Amino acid sequence: MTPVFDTKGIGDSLLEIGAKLGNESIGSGAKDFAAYVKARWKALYSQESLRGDFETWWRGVVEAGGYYRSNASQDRVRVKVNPEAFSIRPKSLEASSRGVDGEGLLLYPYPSVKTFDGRSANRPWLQELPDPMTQVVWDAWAELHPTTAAALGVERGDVVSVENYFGELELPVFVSDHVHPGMVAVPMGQGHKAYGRFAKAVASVGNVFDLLSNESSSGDGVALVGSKVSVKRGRGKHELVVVQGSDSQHGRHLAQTTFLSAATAASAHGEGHGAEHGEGHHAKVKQMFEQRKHPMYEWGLSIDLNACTGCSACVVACFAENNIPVVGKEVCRQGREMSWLRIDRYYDESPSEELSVSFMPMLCQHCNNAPCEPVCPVYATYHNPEGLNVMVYNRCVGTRYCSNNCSYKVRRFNWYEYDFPEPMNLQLNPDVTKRTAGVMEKCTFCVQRIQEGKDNAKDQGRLVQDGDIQPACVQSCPTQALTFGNLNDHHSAVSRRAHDERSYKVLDHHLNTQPAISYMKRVKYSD
Amino acid sequence: MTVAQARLTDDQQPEVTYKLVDDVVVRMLEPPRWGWFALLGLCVSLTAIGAFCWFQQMLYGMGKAGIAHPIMWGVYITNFVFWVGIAHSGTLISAVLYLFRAQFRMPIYRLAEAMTVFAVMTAGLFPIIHVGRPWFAYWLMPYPNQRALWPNFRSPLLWDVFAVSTYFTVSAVFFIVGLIPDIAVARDRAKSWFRKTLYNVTSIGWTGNQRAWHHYEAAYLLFAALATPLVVSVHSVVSWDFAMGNVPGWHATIFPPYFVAGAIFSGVAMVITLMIPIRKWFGLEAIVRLDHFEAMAKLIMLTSGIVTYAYVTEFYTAWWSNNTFERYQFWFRPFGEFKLAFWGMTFCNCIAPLSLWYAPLRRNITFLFVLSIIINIGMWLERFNIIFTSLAREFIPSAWGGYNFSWVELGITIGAFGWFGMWMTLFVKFFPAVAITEIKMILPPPLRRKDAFDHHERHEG
Repeated sequence: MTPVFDTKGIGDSLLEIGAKLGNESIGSGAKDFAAYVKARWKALYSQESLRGDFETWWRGVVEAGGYYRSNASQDRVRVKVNPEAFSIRPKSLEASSRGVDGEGLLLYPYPSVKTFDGRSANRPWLQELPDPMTQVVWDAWAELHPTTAAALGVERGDVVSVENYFGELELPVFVSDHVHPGMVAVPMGQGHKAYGRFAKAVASVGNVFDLLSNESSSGDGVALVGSKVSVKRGRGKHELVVVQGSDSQHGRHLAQTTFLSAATAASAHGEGHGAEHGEGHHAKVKQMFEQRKHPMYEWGLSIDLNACTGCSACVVACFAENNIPVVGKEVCRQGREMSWLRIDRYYDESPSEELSVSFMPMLCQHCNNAPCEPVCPVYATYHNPEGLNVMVYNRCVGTRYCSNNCSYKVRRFNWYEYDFPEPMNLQLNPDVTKRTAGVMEKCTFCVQRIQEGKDNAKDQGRLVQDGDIQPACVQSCPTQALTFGNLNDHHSAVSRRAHDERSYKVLDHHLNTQPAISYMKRVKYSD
Repeated sequence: MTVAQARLTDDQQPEVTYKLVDDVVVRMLEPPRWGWFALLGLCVSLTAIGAFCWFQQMLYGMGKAGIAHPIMWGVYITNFVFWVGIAHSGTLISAVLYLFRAQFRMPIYRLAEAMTVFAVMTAGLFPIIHVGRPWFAYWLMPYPNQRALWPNFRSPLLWDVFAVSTYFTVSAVFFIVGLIPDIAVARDRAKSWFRKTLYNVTSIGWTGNQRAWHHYEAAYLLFAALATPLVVSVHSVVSWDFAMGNVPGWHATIFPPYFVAGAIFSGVAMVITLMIPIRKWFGLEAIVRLDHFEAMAKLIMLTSGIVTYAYVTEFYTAWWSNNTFERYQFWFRPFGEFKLAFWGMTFCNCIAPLSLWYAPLRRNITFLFVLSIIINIGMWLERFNIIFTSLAREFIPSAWGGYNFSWVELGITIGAFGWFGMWMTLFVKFFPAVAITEIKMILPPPLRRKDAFDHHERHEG
């Protein structure tokens, strides 16, 4: 590689030291390390009696990263038991009731977005990620229907003993309407006793695979939903840390849904029912003060709630890109998690279905009329000419008034000096400041990527084009629910989405915060 | 006159002469006995506990306190508003009531002013304690710097900086200047070298001649006039820390008068809390009489009424506004997670002071002492209510949360009381805690012929 300043690589240094010590034969007399390596490979080349020009072969080897003998390990290996795929075999769904007192409940170990089958249990980002439905971090639990829980006399956090012939687990209860009354659902993947320090942090809940019967497996798979368990009240409590405050929107029309009936769905446009709130672009509210001008770019984001599945990939991408620390279960319990972007999960009644779940990514809205900006006594947060609400970490004194005044509650405070234990410190993004204790932080629309995009465009002598810049969350969304771009450009994807009839802005109707983020209503069917 | 002679029962009306005033007050400055040292030791220990807790917090981070998202302001800001509020009453009694020529303020105003100065000193600690990076707290001051940065004048926190520092400056100067003639009395009787030097310096050569008194009266009047608007403005500015936010439960125009009335309320209660023990320990019963306590009790009744009205107004406007966020907030206060604090506040501030409508209770020292403590607890709970409940339930339900009360906060709160107590304890022993000169102004002057002075012609003033 190109030398960094005027340093030397190890190989070159050794050669030079040897030459100075008077050992002429070191490195077989090669003048520099590159020549030395090449000479060695020339020996291999002759040894292998390869045909063709050495230089061509050498370039090929450098590109491939090595020399791989073509006749080695070409045989395909068939793995008998294939753990990668979960297949459904209706026949083997007869539940094994061995060791279960009475009726028992059907055990449903489900692959969690966080750990899948357990392979990513040692990733602290994923442990700290709230499970999209339960919003629990750093744990596993037994999900029970309210009637089951009432029958057992347990509530959230009580420990229950889940057992059958094959094993026993002590799990905390999570009461949820979203599980069948005859079932107990347990997320799989926690309970590692080895594997790593973060996986081991959740060892106490035990491994749900221990409860699975091996009787109904037929050699090429494990029957996941094939065991019954008896669930009894256990001893004590195991607190589950749920990072969501309230499960209901309380009629505040935050995550909005528009309903189509069969008749209107057939026509090109569907009329939304819940459409009174926040049609920001239709009804231009008269403003008291002169509005900001955005001469060049005005960055905006559009979130399509219809496409959002709540998978939370965006949340984790944000952690990765912005050096957000993982704080651990205890600090999360104190309400001090650090995620700049969160997925709010609301359960609300809806006319067309019994149980309705809305997922709503919530992040700094970069309000044009930000309530957080006027209240900072030291101007640590202000609005830049490109529409971003900018946070100046080194100016922040930590009065936290900005967080109090933020109506969306997206600001995070550094309560402690968080460290990035080895080797996670190697993952830190060098383009993003690592924040010290006592400082506020929040989503910046990945300003480092915006800056990089602008720099690249400038190098090429043009303006930033639509799609050049993608914040980490936008980049990682599997359903492309998030779109980022320049609202000044009327042809950009984000502009078109912002003017869509489904688009609205959260709380803007009440507070006139004028967010740069528009949400698009979910579309649901109602009969 | 001995302490025993001066300590008459509260119903008796001894003849108060110039000599009695001098004796009684200067006797307070005698070398302290073990009781005073014990109290000072207690206050200093509590302050040390507070300092230790603060040090822990600065070392490890704000996480040591109980504050968490979304309740980003907690015990420290509650304490801040509490202490600033207490301070206002002292200025009311000493400056505003001076302008109104209210005679009942005479024996109590010096102590009330001392309470003001020390309460502002205590309150001023909390903005520094509650910020995440207190070593940069000076950035809130507009000082010339090489980055040419101004602080943000639109921020209510910055208005606080100016309001509280102005209040401290004016109160301290008012206090020190007002003390000068009284210190001169102590100076003339001082025996120890330390006290002689201390009083010499602080009385700045007061001679008591006609010109000196003339200047003193003029200065005092001007300071009183200067301090008077501060009583209303400073706590209004502090209330704007909340009212300028868009938080449901904070964003209300009732806040400035509500806070000012509440400040007077808690301050008068604190004056009573301080005055009753001092009066007992130093034998001031002849000077600080039941009439004075009754007058303070009536002030309590008035301000309690205003505060109750403000609570009712808050609830009424939340209901009448039909605003879903406001309505939820005012449901949450009496019925939510912090309802104990709400009902405690209502009992202490609205219901308990109603007892003062019964006249004999207004002249019952024990009852007033207990009630004053109840009121201060209630006023602390009021600020707790405003801050905690409003922040706990804002616009986005997913962000609703609670608090983790921590020993660090408790330690710092106790330390603040210790700090305040330490200064008060030192003050009562080293400086005259009762205004000798002003009391003398309303007494008949000592004359050789008793009948040379007609009481009814005595100029009121």
